[in-house]
Amino acid sequence: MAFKTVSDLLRSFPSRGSSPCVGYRTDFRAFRFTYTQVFDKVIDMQRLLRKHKVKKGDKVIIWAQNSPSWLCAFFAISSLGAVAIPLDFRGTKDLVERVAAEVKPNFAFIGVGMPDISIDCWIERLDPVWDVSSMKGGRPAIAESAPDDLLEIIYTSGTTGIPKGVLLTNKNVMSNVAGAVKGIRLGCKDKVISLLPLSHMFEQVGGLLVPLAHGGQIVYLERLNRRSIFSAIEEERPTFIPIVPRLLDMIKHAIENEAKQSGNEHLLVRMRKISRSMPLSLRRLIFPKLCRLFSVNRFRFFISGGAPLERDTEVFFDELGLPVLQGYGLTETSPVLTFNYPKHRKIGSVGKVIYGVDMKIADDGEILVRGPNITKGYFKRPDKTKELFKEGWLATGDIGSFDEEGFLFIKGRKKDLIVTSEGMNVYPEDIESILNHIPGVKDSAVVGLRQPGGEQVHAVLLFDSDRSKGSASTIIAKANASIPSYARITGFTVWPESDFPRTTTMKVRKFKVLEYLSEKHATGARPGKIAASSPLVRIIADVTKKPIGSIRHDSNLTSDLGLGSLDRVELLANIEDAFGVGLPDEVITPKTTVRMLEKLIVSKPHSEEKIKFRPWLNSGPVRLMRVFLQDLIVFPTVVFFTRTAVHGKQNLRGLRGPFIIVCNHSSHFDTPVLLMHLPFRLREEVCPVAMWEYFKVKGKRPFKQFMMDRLYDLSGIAVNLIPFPQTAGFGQSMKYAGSLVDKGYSILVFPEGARTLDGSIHNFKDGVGMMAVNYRIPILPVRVSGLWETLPRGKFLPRMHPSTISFGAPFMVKSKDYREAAKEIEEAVRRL
Amino acid sequence: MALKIGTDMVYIPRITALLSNDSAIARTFKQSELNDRDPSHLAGIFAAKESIFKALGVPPSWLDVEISRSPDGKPSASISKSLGRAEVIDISISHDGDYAIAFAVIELDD
Repeated sequence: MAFKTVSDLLRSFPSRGSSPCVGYRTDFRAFRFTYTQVFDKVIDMQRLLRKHKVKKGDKVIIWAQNSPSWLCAFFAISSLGAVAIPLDFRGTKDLVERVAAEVKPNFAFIGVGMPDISIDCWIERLDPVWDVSSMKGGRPAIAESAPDDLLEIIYTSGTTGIPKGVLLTNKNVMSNVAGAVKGIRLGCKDKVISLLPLSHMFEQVGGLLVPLAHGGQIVYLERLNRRSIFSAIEEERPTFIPIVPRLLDMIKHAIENEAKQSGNEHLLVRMRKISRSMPLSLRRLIFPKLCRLFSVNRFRFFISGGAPLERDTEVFFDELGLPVLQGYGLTETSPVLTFNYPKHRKIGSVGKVIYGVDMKIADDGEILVRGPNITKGYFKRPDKTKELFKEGWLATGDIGSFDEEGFLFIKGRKKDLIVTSEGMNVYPEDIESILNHIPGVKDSAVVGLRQPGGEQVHAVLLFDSDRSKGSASTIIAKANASIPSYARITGFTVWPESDFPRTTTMKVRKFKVLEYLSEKHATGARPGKIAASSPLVRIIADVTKKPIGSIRHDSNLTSDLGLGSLDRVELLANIEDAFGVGLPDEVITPKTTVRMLEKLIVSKPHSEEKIKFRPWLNSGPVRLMRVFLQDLIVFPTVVFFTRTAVHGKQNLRGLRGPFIIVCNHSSHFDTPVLLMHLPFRLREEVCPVAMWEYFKVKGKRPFKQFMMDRLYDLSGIAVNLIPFPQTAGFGQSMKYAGSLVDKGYSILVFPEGARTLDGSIHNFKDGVGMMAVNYRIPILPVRVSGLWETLPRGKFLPRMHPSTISFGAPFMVKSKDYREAAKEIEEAVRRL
Repeated sequence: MALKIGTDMVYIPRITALLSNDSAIARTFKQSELNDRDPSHLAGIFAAKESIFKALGVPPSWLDVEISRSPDGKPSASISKSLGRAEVIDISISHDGDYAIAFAVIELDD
């Protein structure tokens, strides 16, 4: 099982055949790819790279959000022996250009949503998914790479200074893939949801290479907001999730909020107390709502890394029966050094040293390591590389100690580096250089202040004697405007003396500064209550660019925090993403304070009427019933009234769904006539879209509504309807129809929105374009005529009239714009 | 009956940043306004809407105003009834460098 190189791992893909490899969830669909399909795509990308003369040792940048194509690009690059440079998709364009200037790439994969950049090589736009039918496959040519060949260069998040690239070989990474999980039983049934950027080594090993090495499955999400993460956990039923403390906090908060909203806050506390005395595997059972989210027999554990985990958070999840396995490592050690194993773990510890790694504690408490996973050094930075090693051991810069059982506990950090709760590294000197350039600032010291919720980027300012240049908070806001959001200053203090304590070489003695700050905190010198760890405050700080420390419960959003109209839009959108609560714009008045907004979020129930879908319409018995109903009643009736001439039957030969079948709408006869002339296999898997409002009775008339519901059931059984509302709730139906497309069903749409009144074709609505763009499946255009004469709108009884139906050839829409796509489709139908 | 004016200026790079936030875009612009997702174009629409809210003296409710363009490029606005009895007489949008600015004149029935 142990793979020596990434190429070795790639070679194992064809033998996994059609088992699921990777998925991609958008708002409306879940795309799936098997190991064979991924392998074919890798070969296809390799062909593209070779066309652009990429060879062994060349550098290739990947700057894109996680996606199945990202995975393929990574394997394609290493299959040629080239070196991958994965860059954080949240990083700035400027960072990419600076890295490019240093590594001189030969090729770059840039995600479709990323901004244009100017670098001197071929840029290929990376679409997250691909059309499987267009893959040629072909003879694989996987370069023989040696374990010591360079695999990738990882740029740790340098914010403004010169970036530092960590060199990692095949051996570095693959030894960690094998060593980190030695002793945990993993297999092809395992499934991970990948939430952290693949440019981060923790995700690359824990969320990509480890699952693939065991034949498991990975799911990527297009959107990383609360709603999509939760629905992915609920519907995908993952077995484990690599995660950072920040996201764990978000889940914890959501669980607590849910309890608060349903008035079960105290119950949750009591249940947690009870569960402490129960065995871990049974604890989840006493939280029924949680079991729906984290499947009892599937979900195994979270893997937490990237940043120190708060003890509270760890205990919280432990009591809910969702173990969090904490690990420790650095990018330079690709990345895992210690890990807590499911059966052998200790809360508060970062675990035991993994297989293959040697660790010792230096006299000053610093953790030193050596092993096959240790980097050779930094790209083109011999000075920094030299600093990294001490007599053959890598100096981690962290202070730690072992307990008698060999569990490692991290005590602090020697290096002047801040690690945020998102696992991002912030270099204080970068932030200091920005601050020191602002008029009025004489000098500054940026430190990581440990607070509940993780380390905060805290700035200590030393002012010029002339303080007229602006207040401290405007200076911080000014600095924050040019700092990427993950590294922003979240708190500040004005240094009370005329200078910082300094060493003989005039460097600031940061530990003295920290000592002062913690004393000040202990004596409660700060006025007002600060809700530093509340996610709402974080969102507000992010939008207004104000330091977290300056946001209080009674801060007025408009007058104190300077919330502008654009900020307001951003704030409400971020609240919707984070809490799943859609607040209208009007809720923020000039009087709204932080506390009032918080109350609104907790009290606001999730609105929007739930549409009752009928998944049972696709069950075996109902499908059988449908065949009888159609063949014995529906079709004979249709044939009695209209004789249909069929054109373009050759276009249907050998077709395999799913499609979006698009047809003009002339009468109630359209659907049965169309179904009747489709090949049996296709017909059985067609879901026509129906207007949801058609089945809704206006006002309170329960009996009529009851009858309408039964009509809906009956027509559902006869032709498998999907209700689509024309206004609110459209998204729900898009999602439901998307899930049917995932299962191979075709969707039949009448995009004019209503039956014609005069027999002519009306303009197509944009909704069909939205379907075509988001579902990414071919359109099958159909045109009917003569049926309006058979049963016009408004008439109840049909009369006899001949009709024609024409089938066009299936095609994919070219435009990404909904309206343009709808026009393309309309033209295709009109041409028939 | 009274004539009211409103004006607003938007820093275009902020709209560029907003474009990556789908829910923010969806709650600010109508589908018809999003056919062209060029930031300076959207900044103009945003400024025009905000200038109308200022003229009306109401808090913004972005989807109640729709900005469209005639084929010769002249912008026009239609506002929903929920904003009260008012009529947009004219709006004007301009761009230069990093900024978009808009000016609105409305007639308010009282």
